[in-house]
Amino acid sequence: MEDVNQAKQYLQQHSDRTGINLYDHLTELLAQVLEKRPRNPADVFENISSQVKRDRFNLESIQSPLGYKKKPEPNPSLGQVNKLMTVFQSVKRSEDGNDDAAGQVPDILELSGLFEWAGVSFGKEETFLLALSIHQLVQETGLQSARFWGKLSARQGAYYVVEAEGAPPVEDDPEKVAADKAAVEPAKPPPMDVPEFEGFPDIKRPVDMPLPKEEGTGVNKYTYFVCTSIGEAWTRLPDLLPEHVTAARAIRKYLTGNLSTPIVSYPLYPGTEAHYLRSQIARITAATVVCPLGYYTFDPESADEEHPETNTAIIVNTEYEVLPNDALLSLENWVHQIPHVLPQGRTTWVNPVKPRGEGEDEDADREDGEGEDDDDASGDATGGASEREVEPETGPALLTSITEDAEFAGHPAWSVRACSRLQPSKFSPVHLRSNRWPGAHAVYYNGKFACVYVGDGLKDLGGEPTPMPALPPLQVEFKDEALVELVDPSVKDEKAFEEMLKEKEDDAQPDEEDGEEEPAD
Amino acid sequence: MNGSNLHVDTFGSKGIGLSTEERACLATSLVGLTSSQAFSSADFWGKIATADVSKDYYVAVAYHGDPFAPTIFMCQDALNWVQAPNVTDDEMHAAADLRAAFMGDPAFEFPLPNGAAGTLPEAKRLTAVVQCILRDAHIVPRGAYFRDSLGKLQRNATFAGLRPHDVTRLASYVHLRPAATSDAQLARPDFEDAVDVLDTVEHDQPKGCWVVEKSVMNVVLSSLIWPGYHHATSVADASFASIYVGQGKKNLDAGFMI
Repeated sequence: MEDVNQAKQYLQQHSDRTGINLYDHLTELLAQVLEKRPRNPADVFENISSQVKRDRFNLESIQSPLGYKKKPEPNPSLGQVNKLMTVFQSVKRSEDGNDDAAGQVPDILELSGLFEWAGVSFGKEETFLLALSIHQLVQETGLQSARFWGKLSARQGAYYVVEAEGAPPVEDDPEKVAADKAAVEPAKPPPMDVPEFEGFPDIKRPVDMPLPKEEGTGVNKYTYFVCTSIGEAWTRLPDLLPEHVTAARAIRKYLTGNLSTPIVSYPLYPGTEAHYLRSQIARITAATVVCPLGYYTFDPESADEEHPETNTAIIVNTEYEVLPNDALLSLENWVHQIPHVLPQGRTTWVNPVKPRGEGEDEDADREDGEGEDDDDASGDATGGASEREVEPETGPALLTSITEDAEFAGHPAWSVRACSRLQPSKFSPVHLRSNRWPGAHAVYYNGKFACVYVGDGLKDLGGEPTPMPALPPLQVEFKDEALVELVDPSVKDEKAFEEMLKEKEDDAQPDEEDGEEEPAD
Repeated sequence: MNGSNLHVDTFGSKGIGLSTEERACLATSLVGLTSSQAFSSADFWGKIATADVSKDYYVAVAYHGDPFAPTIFMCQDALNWVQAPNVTDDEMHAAADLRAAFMGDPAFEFPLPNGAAGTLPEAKRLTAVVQCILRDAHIVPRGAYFRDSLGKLQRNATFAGLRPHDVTRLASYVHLRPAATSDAQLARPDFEDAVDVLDTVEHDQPKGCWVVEKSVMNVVLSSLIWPGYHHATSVADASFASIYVGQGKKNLDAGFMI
């Protein structure tokens, strides 16, 4: 009995390397063999033994000395996915089923099917998420209507742009607040202790007023919201001042993807990327948003008696007859829907010369001013002369056909095709594409039409090298007839002259006199 | 990749798509193209937009097994492929400098740029542009190609895709072109001499000429030098693809615009 106990005690000694003892190991081993009943257990005995030992290796934590676990790498898209989940959960359907009050949004999924025929497609899932996100925007902001304007690519990411109507006005717009303040209290210089100054001579230099901003009309008729990826919150873009548009025409820069980046360019751009983006959107919209002829008509009620040609209110034509797809293959049946942006940066012309009294600011009121067919037709609207006579800038009127668009680099500004070559025309959408703004597409199919822009927001150069910015003229030397420039005499010449004078005096009058001539220093 | 494997869907984030009719035509005609001259693969390479939208070019590139010897095919209806003519190096350089738009007529003659005498027909310009893009912009993930023991560049059948932390780094993408000056031995801690034989995209000038856009399923790299070239690598598996949808013009002002 003693031997058995001693043997058992020996067998139960824990190993100092692994902590197991033979007694427990054998117990477990035999239990496993009896459970699994392998064939020829004696032959596979060593295997079962090593298997039991391996299974015993049970990690409590990674910190134990022999423990390591492969850390699961987080999916880098997780952040994006979380944002998308909020989009899924945010859209509320109104309880009484009346979704019309929420704001008008076109059927984006249906339109995406049309755009796919034109070769523009974001993928079904992404388009669906985009549609949800736009619905969410319309509900939250209380917009009257919205449409998906397009996608602009940037250096880090992209901008999805939504064009909206009826956005509530922005409270406490910092620019507006500053402008209002300036109007009320003109900046007074601090009082200084200097004697009364007579004033500078009156130099006749005309002063340009800063051009007024178009409020709620013209380029600022629509409000634009952007987001950098679907699921992110929509940011409202600021309204445009005319100088934003004119400056945007002079530079050519990629967007960076961050709205607050300053634009490093020459000539200096008076704004951040938000303004530049907004300017490009305005230019592209004015140049490329089109509709079929006859769909819109001028609103007779809002026609201005004095200036019928500047009527910009258009309404849907109730007597519109849906044109067949074939008809839209000819460019005459497409018309511009958005007023043209003049070189000034506005859609309606304002005289930039400050009126300084009668007779001085009479601009030539010519009826047929230079017709600008396009944004940067070179017509210089400001005349020379000391009293600047400024010709009013005009552009193509609203609802003019796109055939009137100026040719671009030797070929038409627009090209059109039937999307399907093989199907009959009533099943084939019509795709219209702009050459001046590559990326601007319009599609028409049996009465439905839509425009979209997918690109980098830059105008095509049209085969010309990049335009160099016009440098300001060199300053010329000051010229005044009363001043005559003389050469200063050198010391040698002076001495010689003095000696000559002295000799004359000595000859004429022997008395000593002080030299009249003072030696010039 | 065989011709029926149109990968255009991966580029949806760039707004690129093909209509159903185009897909049907391309998938069918590319299979026929592959077998017509016993190519090992014929891929849809992309579209070159012309001044007339009804005459855009579809371009396919076919290989006999050597990734550096492509045969370029073009067509304007996605069905009847025509082999594009060969070009010399001079013509390639000239085509990269041309700023005029493609006209849609393969016989149209472009005057050579920079005051050189002579003209370049549009069909040759197309080949030249495609070869320039393959040389300057075509990229693949690092590890997708390797040099075997005989010195030949092969597609890596065991490529498992890029790791999640690598997939947005420019150093993980390499140009697939013969002249390779790889200094990866000094640059990378995980240098492998079979794989690091191609030069990475990291040092392409001007800095910032590659735009990296990450979506949930894949990462898309777009070139600003050849605007319209996109490369997508999946984050989930080992697939990758390239496409070109653009005007066939090099952006010579990229450095000023970035």
